[in-house]
Amino acid sequence: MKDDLLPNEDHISRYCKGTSLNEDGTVSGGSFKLRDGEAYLSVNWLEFLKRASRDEEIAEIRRILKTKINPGGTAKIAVLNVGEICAHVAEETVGIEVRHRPDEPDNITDPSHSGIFDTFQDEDLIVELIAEKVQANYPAKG
Amino acid sequence: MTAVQERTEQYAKFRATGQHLKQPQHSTTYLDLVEPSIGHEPLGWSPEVVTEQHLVETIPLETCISNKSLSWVVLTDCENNAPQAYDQFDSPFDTLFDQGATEERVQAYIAHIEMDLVSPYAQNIAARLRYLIEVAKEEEPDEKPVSEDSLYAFTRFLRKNPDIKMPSIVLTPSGNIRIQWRRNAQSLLVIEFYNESECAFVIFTPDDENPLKPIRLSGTASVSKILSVVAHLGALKWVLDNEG
Repeated sequence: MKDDLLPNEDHISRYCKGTSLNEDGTVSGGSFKLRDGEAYLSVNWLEFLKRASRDEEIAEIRRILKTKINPGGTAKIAVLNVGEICAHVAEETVGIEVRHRPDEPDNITDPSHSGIFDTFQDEDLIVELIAEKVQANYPAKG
Repeated sequence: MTAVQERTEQYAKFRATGQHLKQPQHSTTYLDLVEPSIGHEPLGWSPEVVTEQHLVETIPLETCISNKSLSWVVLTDCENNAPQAYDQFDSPFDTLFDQGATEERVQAYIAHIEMDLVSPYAQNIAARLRYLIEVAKEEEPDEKPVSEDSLYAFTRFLRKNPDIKMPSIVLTPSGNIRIQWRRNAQSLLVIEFYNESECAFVIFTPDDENPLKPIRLSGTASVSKILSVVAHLGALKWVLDNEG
């Protein structure tokens, strides 16, 4: 249901623009900064997709992304564990939450869409802490 | 009064204060570089070739970016020692301002970084910025790829701190320039440039009393003071070339 907290053991993916990647291709804190006017960070809930493997989950995320944006050739999909990022951030600063927000924004069909909330306060520190917990990244274009 | 006439008049008033820069005395011309907002700090100009008409206006590679303040370059005949009439020719500087040619100003800034800054990494930094702009255009063609204010601030930072090591440079969703140096898991300095007077920083630095957990701080500071703010936390060791 909308606004349900995602389980700590589950994983989320975040689309990271090529401009936000370090020269070595790693994901920087800049990948987790809010756009002007954004209330939360858009992510996708991987376990919600009910695929058999991580590769299949990423393939589905690529398909979803194509329905919403034109993924850049250098962009990446970063994978994070929900519990890890929440605990890591809470250890240093204000708490964050990951909630289910299906079909947002703009009512585009995207049932696994979710959000990382409460990053705005102390954002610069929080984004670096989140970036430290990126478990893997994949090309956004398969 | 046209904008050009207005600027010429203001220029004359400013010149009357004696605060202007001049070409070396052996030159047959004066090149005045003026940016009232920050006094008359040299901004990386280089001598210009004088045309046959001895009347040249050149676009200052940096000052032309700041449309918050009055900034211009005038090349004058030393015998007259006064600005020539601007409206006798089309000024490329006017074009930049009047048409809001953001892209040209951004490229001018990057060219300034590449050609005029003394950092050994100036060319690498310029190349990285050009790459990021190209990637930004590919990803979101309708968006402004980089914030001019942020680029201006970054340029000032580079000019003030020529001894920094090559940072990793990325863009935020707002187009701000965000740079970082990471030495290891416990040593990180991130600076994001908002505008000419403010930047945000994040620092992770080892804690002698707790080796397992680094000190982690964030805040804001002026662009001119940011490195001195983080210096007492040891960040300069992994930021400056001469600190080892």
